[in-house]
Order: sequence, then structure tokens, then C-alpha cells
Amino acid sequence: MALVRVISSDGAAFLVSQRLAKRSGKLKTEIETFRKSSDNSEAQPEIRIVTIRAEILRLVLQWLQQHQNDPVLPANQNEQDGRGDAEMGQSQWDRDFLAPMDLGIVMELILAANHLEVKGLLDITCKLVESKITGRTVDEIRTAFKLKSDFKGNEEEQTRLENRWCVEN
Amino acid sequence: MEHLRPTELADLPNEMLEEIFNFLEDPDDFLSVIGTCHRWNDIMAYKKTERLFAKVLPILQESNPFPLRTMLTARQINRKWKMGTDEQLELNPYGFQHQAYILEDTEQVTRLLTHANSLPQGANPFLGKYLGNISQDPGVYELFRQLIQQHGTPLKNILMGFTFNTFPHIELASILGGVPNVETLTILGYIQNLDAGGGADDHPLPPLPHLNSVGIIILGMPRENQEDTDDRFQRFVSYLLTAYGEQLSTFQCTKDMLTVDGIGELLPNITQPEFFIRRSTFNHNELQVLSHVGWRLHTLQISDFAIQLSPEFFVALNNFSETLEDLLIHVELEENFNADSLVIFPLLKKLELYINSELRSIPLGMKDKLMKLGGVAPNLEELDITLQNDTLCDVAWGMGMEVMSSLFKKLNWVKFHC
Repeated sequence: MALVRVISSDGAAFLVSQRLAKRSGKLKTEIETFRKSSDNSEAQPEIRIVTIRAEILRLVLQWLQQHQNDPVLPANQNEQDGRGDAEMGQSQWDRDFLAPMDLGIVMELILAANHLEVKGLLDITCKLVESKITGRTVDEIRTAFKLKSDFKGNEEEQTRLENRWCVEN
Repeated sequence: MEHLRPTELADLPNEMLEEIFNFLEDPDDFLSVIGTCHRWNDIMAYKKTERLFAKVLPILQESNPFPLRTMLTARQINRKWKMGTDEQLELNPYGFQHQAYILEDTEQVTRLLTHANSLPQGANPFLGKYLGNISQDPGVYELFRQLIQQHGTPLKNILMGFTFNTFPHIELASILGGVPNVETLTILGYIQNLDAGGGADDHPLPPLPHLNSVGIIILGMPRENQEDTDDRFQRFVSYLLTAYGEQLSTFQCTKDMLTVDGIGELLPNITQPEFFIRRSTFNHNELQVLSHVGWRLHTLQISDFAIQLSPEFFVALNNFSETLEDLLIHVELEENFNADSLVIFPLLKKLELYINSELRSIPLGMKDKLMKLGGVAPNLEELDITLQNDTLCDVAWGMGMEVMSSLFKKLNWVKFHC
């Protein structure tokens, strides 16, 4: 089985089958670039992902492993063909996968899925974060994301006043 | 006892590292910090939802754009969320709060002026930093000018529409003096309303160091006094572009601009990323001007149903062979479209086809014509096809996305609008 070494920003190496890795658009391109530039067709590609740390890379690979037999969605799949809806592909496994995660980790996963071009994972993580923002009040969002207001002086009131024109029009 | 002096960041206590990391404004720097080692990740873990928001929001927007109300809520959470949200509002004012800042009548602009006057010092009355005036009422124009002169400092994007035939001339110097930070200026109107007044001698235009994009969209030419109108248009364009032409990288215009003497010299740096020409059916002379003007066009949008995609047309565009990456054209599949013509644009990444065919039966060869694109535009990344009737839509769907995708190795976006 052809393998590829994928190395995280903090130096952890993951040995992954090329078949699985190629389900990430980014890793697929990197593997193909390596093949074209390498004289030895048997050489094992090594890909360093400088923006993703080991814990997150492991989660992405775990998700890819679970979904290895799903059809690959194009990176910019538009919604008109009906396959862009995250809920369509969200299984019980996905829900269990995301359930224990802190929203900070989910945001890191969004950045990782976007960078590695893993459309299905990007869909479900975006959907989760969106659901914690859309239709929520300021206090509900602060609670969900464990955020505190750091506005100084009258900045918070000023922001509310600035919004008023758009709210009323 | 001799005190040890920390020589490496690793020697510093967690509290001190946290202080240092909090100075890093850029979310990419924050990502690098948490991606360096377990310890640094653990120290800053509680800040992730605050510090990564500005980087995650554009991705969320692409997946499922937030409604305006959600954006307004998001900018009230804390300073970092406000900054991230405001960046998105500025990048795409048309997607969110556009309507609230398009002035249409006296009542609206008076209320906006009152709102702006009621805000505390330093507040921004224009979310998205955008303001447009499309009213035909000179009274609204006067209030628009007052609004800009009193509160225009935050504005980055302004649109001025002069669609009323008897409108007084634009007092451009007076308006632009109120928007020192403007980056994008769009002027939309009838040629006879564009007037430099006394011109550069009487009304010198203020320096606008951030201005990089200008649009002059001409809605119509008068039938009378053609010479006088041409002369006035020439003076206006030259007044504006003598002041700002060199600093512009983006310019939007209608083909009327090709009639201005020395337009290539007035806009010497239009190299990237976009140059639009709209509403244009080019005649022979205009094609000659276009091909010799010396611009390096990356983007060309020709949205005219009547344009003839003649060999002459493509020969004229041959000068942009080394630069053109984005082309929008209207085609009639059964008449004027030959995919082979596009071979002169080897860099083409984005192609938008408006297919005007009115045929009610499946046109022979349509599929072949579209399939040919794969061979002539190997670098295509986006293909956007708008079809005019249901029969054609059925044919397009029948071809299947995957078949299309297989033809273009780099294609990651196929969109059919039916």
C-alpha cells in the first residue's frame, strides 16, 4: 500500500495511505506535485502542514478514515445541485464526533478542513458554528463561545448605536 | 544569590508568555503560536474562539452567508469579533447593508444625517463604509454632499448616480474633499451631467492616497449637441484621471471611455486585477483602440447580447493573450460561438457564458461545442453558464457535472443558472 508522511506544525508525523490522503484536495495536489518532481517513483512523499497542529490533523484524518467510501464533493460545490447541504451528509457518527468538542477546537477544524480542502468536514463544522451564532442573542453567543466583552468606555453602546441605522432600515 | 536570566521564550512563565502572545494581532500569528507546542496551545486555548473568529468568518460566509442581523449581533460580542465582522461588511457592502446606504429620497437622507449627528465622537455612521446616492432629486444630492462633508471620513466606497437629465454638474472636488480614505469611487450617469465645472484650475481635486478603483458608467448619450457632449465628457474624464489615473489599478467603464483622447496615458497602471468594459458592442474603430491602448487586461466583461464574436473581435483581443484570466461573453450556441476562438487565452481561469439561444429543440452540436472548451481552456477553474430556456437546461443537466469536471483538471466550480 502506497503511503504518505503528513507532518503537523508541532512536528508529529502521521503515516497515511495515499488513497485516504487523496480525499483531501490539498494533499492530493501535494502528492501529485511530489510525484512529478521525484525521480524515484517508489519514494514516499512527505508533506509538512505548517498551519495545523497534531491534535487537529489527527481529527481530520479520523474523519477522512470514517468517510473514506463517501463520494468526494468538489471544493466549491454549489447548492443548486443539492449536494452542498451539510445536513445531507451528517451522520450519527458525525454528531458523536463533534459533540465533545470545544468550539475553539471546532474553529481550528474549520480552518484545517478549509486548508486541506475536505469539503464534507468543512460543511459539518461550519454548520455547527453557524448554529451557535445565527438567531442567538449577544449573551447567548458569549456563553457558547466562552467570551467576555472587552469593550472599553462607551464602545459597546457606540456599537449598538451604529447598528441602529441598519436595524431600522 | 545570582538571578537566572531567561534567554529563551521557553524559560518564561506562562503568565508572561500569555502577555506576549496577546500582543500578536494577526490571527495567523495566533495560529502559529498554538500550533508550536502543547504548552503554548494550552496557555492560549481559552482565547481561540476570540482570536480565530476573523479567520473563520470568511469561510463561514462562503458556506452559508449570515443575514445582516446576525452580522450586527456578531459585532457586539467583543472587540475582535467586531473587527472581524466589520472587515467582512467592508469587503462586501452589497451583500449586507447596501440598501440601507443607498440614498433615494429626501426623507431617508435627512434621517441618516440625523442618525450620523446623534452618534458619539469617533463612531462610524456607515457600516460597510459604503454610501451611494442614486436619487434624481437635486435636494437629495445637496444633503448627500453635506453628509459626506460632515461625516465622510470613515467611507471607503462611494457611488454617485446622476441619472436625471437636467442635473446640475457634479461638484466633485467638494464631495471628494470629504472622503479622504476612499478606496473605490463609482460615478454612474448620463454624459451631459458629467461636468468638470471650471476644471482643475478652479476646483483642484484633493489627494486621495487610498483610491485604487474608479468606475465611470455611462447610461446614455444625448442625441442633440453631440460635439458639445463629447467635449464635456473628454474634459471631465481628463479632470478626474489627471488627478488619480496613475494610482488606479482597477477601472470600470463603458465603451464610451475608448473615445477619450489619450485614455491609455491617463490610466498607465491598469495592469491588475480587473478591468471591466460593460454594455459594449464594439465597432471596428473601437476594437482597434482597445487593442492598442496598452492595457494588460486580466478581466473583460462584455455583456451585450448583440455583440458579434467575429474573428476580428478575437484578433483585437489577441493583445491580452498573455494576461486575460477572466472573460464574460454572451453567445448564441447555434450562431456565433466557436470554442476554438478561446485558444488565444491560455491563462483563462474563469469563463462566464450567457447562452442566448432561444431554440426550443436540442441544438445539434451544442454538447460538442461545450465539450470542446476542455481542450482550449486547460487552466479553467470556474465555468459559469447561464442558460435562457428549459430545453437547454435539460441538455446541460444531461451532460452531468462529473463529465464536465473530468474535462478540466483544474476546474473546481461549474455553475448552471437556468
